[in-house]
Amino acid sequence: MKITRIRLENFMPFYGTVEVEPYTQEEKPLVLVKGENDTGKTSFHTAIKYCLHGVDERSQRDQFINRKAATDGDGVSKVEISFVDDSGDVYTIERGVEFSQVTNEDDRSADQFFIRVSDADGNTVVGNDDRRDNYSRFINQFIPENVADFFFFDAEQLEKFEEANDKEVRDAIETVLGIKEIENAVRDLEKREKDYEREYAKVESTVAEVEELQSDLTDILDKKEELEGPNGDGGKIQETKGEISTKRQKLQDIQSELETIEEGDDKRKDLEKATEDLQTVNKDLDDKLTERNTLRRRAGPLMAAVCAGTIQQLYDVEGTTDEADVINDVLGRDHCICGEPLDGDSDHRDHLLDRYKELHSSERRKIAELLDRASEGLNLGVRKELDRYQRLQKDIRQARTRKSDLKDRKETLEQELETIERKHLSDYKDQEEKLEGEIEELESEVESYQKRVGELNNERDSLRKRISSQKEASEEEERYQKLIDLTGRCRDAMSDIRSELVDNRRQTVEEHASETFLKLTNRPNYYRGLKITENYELRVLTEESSRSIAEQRPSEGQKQIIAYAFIAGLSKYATRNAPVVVDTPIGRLDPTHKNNLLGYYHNFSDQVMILYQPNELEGSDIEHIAKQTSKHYEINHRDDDQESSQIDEVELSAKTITGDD
Amino acid sequence: MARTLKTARQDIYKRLVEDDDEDNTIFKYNYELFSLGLIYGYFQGEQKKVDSEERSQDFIKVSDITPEEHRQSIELVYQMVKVESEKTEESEIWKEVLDYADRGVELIDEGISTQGDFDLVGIVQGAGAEDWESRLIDSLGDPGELKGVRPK
Repeated sequence: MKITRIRLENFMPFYGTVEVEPYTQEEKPLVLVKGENDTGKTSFHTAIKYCLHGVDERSQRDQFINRKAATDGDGVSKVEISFVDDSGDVYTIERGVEFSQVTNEDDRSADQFFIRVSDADGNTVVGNDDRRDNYSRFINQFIPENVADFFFFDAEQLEKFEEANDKEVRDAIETVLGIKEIENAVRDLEKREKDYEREYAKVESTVAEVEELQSDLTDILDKKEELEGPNGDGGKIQETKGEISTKRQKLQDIQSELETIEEGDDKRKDLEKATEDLQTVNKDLDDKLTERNTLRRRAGPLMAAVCAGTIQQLYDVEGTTDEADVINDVLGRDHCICGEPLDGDSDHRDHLLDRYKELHSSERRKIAELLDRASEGLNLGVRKELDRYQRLQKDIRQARTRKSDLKDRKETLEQELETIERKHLSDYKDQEEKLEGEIEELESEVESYQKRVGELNNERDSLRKRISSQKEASEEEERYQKLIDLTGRCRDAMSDIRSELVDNRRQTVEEHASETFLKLTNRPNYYRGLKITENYELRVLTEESSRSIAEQRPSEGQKQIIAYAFIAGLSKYATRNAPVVVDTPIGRLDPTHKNNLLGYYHNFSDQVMILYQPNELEGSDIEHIAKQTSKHYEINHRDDDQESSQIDEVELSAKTITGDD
Repeated sequence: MARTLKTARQDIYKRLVEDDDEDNTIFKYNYELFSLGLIYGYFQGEQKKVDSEERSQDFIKVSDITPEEHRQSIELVYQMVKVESEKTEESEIWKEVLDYADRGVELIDEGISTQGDFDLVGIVQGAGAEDWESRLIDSLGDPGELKGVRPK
């Protein structure tokens, strides 16, 4: 990781916008920033730390707001740092506050805090609304917060590294060395192992159910066999079906018998025939009776007809009425029409007179009238009608006999049929009903058996599925066992690795710190080096002893050198390549220490920013490190505003160097 | 005078002539029983002598009888009664006719009661031609003895 740009806006003494681009070239890792006291050198250092990791107390943000800007009007106070990571990706972190104008600069305060991380294309990587964890995850990839002090430090305040027997410091050191990650891996593996054990416990418990389930399955299969038989072709269902079949056959026989009785019975046919015949006879009888009665009603005329016939057979009248008229006419003449004379006492006249009296008698007239009456309308053919009557009477008698016979026959047949129905049909009907009822019950029984079989099938399938899944569970159990075993071994391995790494790294750091210390100290012959205990306690080794720093009681300069050596050791083996920013680099160091340190600065990191006071580094010192220096900046009060500072890049020239001497 | 069918034996008519409610009667109309009773009574030479007041039931006028054979039968007997009775008053002759008819009805009724049924053939054949001849000679006179009449 290398910082490529730092932009300050209304931050502490930096009014308006101040921007530097401290990118370093290869072989020139140093960036020098010169600043007199109170110009803003430490503020610049604070700005870097603030931008990357924020502040512990929010009130500090109020103090970061530039005083002049706060009284000018509403605005923003922020720091922007752009950097490029080891993969070449560029990110920009922008952190700051919005503020409102205040009359009194001491009243300045932050209204709204903001932070934003964007990539090279301006896309937001971490937004203001994201959780704080998101930013922590982001920045921990580059410079974890707990190790920041190893990279951004004030050389005058290195005491805390002198005795690292502090958990916080120890964690930071282990983070720098990558040990924390291994510890995290160990913890993850432990957690994973516990998870697997829990899963295993579940699987194991379910496996224990398999036997019970299989027992249940056996019960179900037994029940199924009881219902369906061993091969699905017997059992209660088949037995009941057989029973149904037998009853059905019986029912069929009965129904066939009933059909014979109901439909094929001769008696019923005879009855139908007799009924039909009876109807015919009745009709015929009615017709005959009607005809006969008509004849009966003519009894008077028939009898009168016989009488009339007898009259006509018995009586006849003399002459005719015309004859009497002619005789009467002749009697008035002298001669008869035959020529005989009629005058006097003629016999012929007497004869005609007698004839006339005879023809004119009342008896003849009445008989003649009777004969006329007898001959009118009474020629009825009596004999023929009587014969017809007798035939009708005969037919009627026969019809009545036939009717009587048919009625008897019908009654007999009806009685016989009634007997049959009563005795047989009803018996069959009863049997039919009984059988139908029994069949219905048996079918219901079969249906319930089949339903039960269906349920048992479902239960069986369910159990098989469960057993199958339990078997899978047992496979899972095996898998979990393997995983637990593997995780355990991994954890053990990682623990071993951690232990070894801790030891190795500690030794390596110790070796490098010792080596560095011996390079930096002004007494390389006295000191044998540094020792880092298992608790990361720094001990100073001399020829005679191994003492803690407290016991050794080295000078302040010596302490600073020890701290540098320790940081150098850590930095050398840090898993992350981070810039180092050193404020007040020389501090209380004597010339030997300073000289040694200047010769060593470029080994700290690929980017080392040194914020120094003019009296810390003289022209010769600068010259000493000029070859390893990429940029040189200077912080000054602004000419137009002594309250505000500005940062300008200055040429690393003899002038600037001599100016410091 | 209008010759009207009447009877003094309404009871017999009620039994033997069909009412609307009865099916098993022998005659359908009163004139049917009257014509039979009349010819039968005449044949038997028996009359039921009753006062005219006793024949209160009027049936129908002879002239109103539609079936010709029944009307002719009554006219025939009327003519024979006219010859037999030698009466000239129509009402008197008709009185004789009604007497024959009521008696004849009684005899028919008795015959039915005796035989249990109406014997048409017996009645008709019981008055055969010979029987009639005898009856006619008794009633009307021997054809050989009647003036202007001769046996056929």
